[in-house]
Amino acid sequence: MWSIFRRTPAKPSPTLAEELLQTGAQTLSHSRVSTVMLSPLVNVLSRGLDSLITKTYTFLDPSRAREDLDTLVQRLPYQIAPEVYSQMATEPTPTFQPLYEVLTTLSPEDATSNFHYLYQHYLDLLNHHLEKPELQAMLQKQYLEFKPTIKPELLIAFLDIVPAGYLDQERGSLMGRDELLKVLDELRSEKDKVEAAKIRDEALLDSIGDGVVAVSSEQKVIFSNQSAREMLGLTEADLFEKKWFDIVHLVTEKGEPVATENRPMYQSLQTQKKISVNNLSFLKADNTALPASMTATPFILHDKPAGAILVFRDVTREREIDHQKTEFISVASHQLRTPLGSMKWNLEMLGKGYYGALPDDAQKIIADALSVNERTIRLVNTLLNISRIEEGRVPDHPVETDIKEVIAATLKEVEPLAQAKKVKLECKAEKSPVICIDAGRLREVLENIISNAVKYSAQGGSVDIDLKFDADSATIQVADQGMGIPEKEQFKVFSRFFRAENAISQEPNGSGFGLFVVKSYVEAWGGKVWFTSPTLPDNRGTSFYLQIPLVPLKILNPAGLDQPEAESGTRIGDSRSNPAPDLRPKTS
Amino acid sequence: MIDTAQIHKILLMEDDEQLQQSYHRLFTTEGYQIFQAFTGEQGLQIAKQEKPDIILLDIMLKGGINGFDVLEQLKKDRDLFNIPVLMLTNLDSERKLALSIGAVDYLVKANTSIDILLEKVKNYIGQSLTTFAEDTSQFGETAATPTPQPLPEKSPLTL
Repeated sequence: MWSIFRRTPAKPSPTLAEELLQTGAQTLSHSRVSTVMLSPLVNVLSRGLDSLITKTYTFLDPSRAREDLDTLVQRLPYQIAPEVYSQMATEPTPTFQPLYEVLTTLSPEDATSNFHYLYQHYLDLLNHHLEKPELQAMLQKQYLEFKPTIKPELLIAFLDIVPAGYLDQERGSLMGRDELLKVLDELRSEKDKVEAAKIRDEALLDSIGDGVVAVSSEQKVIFSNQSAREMLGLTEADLFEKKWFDIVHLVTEKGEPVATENRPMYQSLQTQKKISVNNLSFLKADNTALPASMTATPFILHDKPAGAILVFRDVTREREIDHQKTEFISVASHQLRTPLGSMKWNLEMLGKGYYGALPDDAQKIIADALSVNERTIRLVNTLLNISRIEEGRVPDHPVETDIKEVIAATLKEVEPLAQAKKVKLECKAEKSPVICIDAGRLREVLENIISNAVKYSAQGGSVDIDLKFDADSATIQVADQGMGIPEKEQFKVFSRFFRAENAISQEPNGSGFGLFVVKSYVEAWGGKVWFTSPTLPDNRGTSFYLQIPLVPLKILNPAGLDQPEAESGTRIGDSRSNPAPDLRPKTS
Repeated sequence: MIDTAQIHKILLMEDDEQLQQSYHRLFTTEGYQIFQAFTGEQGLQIAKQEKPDIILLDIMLKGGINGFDVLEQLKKDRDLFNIPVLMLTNLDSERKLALSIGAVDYLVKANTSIDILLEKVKNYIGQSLTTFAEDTSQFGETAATPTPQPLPEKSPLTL
């Protein structure tokens, strides 16, 4: 062996190796993506190289291959899963292919350190087999030269091709230069394909108006499109390979910072679920807020979570319009309330004789006017509630609550209405665990659904309420035998102002807000509401279902949602640290 | 308790003239003596002069100060702090704040019938508020004649 190598020309074929390395380096510098994104390229590299290394072993001493493989695997700082090892060992000739694949799934740091070990050991093996210190020294020198720029993929090429190339010089026909060139061509064409695909994808992603950012599972930015960078006011250099959560911050609508663990990208990485959020803003580089709707989606490579992609859109205008609309409803409602309230009192006073005696038939007219007045006030109140829901200003005060008791209280409330229509209310409830929920709002929800069921029941019908529990939720079913919901109108049942045609003819005075409110509340708790209709053969009957988690969601942005009153509380800054004494009479 | 021989005084702070007329009719018919103010400044002045038995206070007022400012001034005044103040307004989001400053109750006009209003007024009149002495720290040592507090800055109201 020694003598063979002595005949080797001083510089055997460094150009070939260099060319290959250069190709690899170019590929890497162009791609600007992590190992994960490069895995197709790595696969091609290692496929070609593995055949070379296998042949090297065949040529040297086939019986040693298995032993070397074992030693190599044992030396790796990275623990190789048994199934990967057995896959390597059971091939007709031991192959390193599965090993490369494992390594490409590691973090770049881990992969690199593993490759360094691999390389060192490879040199040892060469030395052992070839007893050729010059070769080893040369390889070592080249290795040290390239070490600073070494990336895992490059190292594969380096450590495999270079010795293979040298050996080839000696053995001529066994592994010709042609064969290496073929590998090189394959690499080039693969590189071109990867680059073409990359250019196409980037052009595509840059041309869209939505911001797109991809982060690795180490939370580092591996891609950002032009829209994303423009919206955030950052350059590619600001973002690339930086930790996303360190570079870009989120704030709530009130400008409070959002903790990392509450951020959609983080939650998506953690839960491997798609997370959409509509009420947060980016804090731009110039410290202004960019209201955005954003969706984080995890992605998976080699069956392992590899990162997440965030797609976001500037919703400044939408939020403005939405805010103005809500503000308008809110102001208009308050303006309406003043005359309505004044009208109410005057009518009441008129009816009670504060302005003198009235003719008998005037009483009925006053009563009618009052009932219209009160209905309008209720409508205005509902409008106000809706505008609060839309602004996310509904206060939520969870307390330990027995759902069964809330149902009982609601039934008591609805009872007069039911009696008037001779509707039977029946309740079957399982023994109920205590849940933590805003009892007042739960009652509002139940009242809406149960009174609907009564309202749209025929005289003498019945409404059945059923409460069931499973491991993590409570389900309340409210079933009536009423008119049912026409199929063509079912899709809009939970929208604002919805009233089914057949309902309007029977009960003309509803506001069409009830179920919208129900849905808003229940979904804020992380629950679900749905219905089936008809439930009876003759197109009658409706069942509404409420499913409430036993541990209701803490609404995102609790500080902002909790206390609508708190906003005006800022005016008495002093009395918050030194609260005003409670002067209310203890007896009231 | 309520001395039936005495005519009770009600101070109404409300910027709506029509409503003031209705109040007037309502409460005079019920045998109360009525004082009416359209601005907070006017209301505070009447309160000092007349020492009413109860004050009905709107949040939105004419003039430079709103109902919360008035309420704070009343609660800081040794002579006036124990007059029960019943908030009567159409804003329904300020209940907590009003109660924390010391209102006895908070009624949304459009959601309150006159029967309830009359009943509340009757109940709150004459209820003695004696807890002032328990917390004089905020007024310093000049217990007898409190120094006038600067008016707190007016803040925008939340609807």
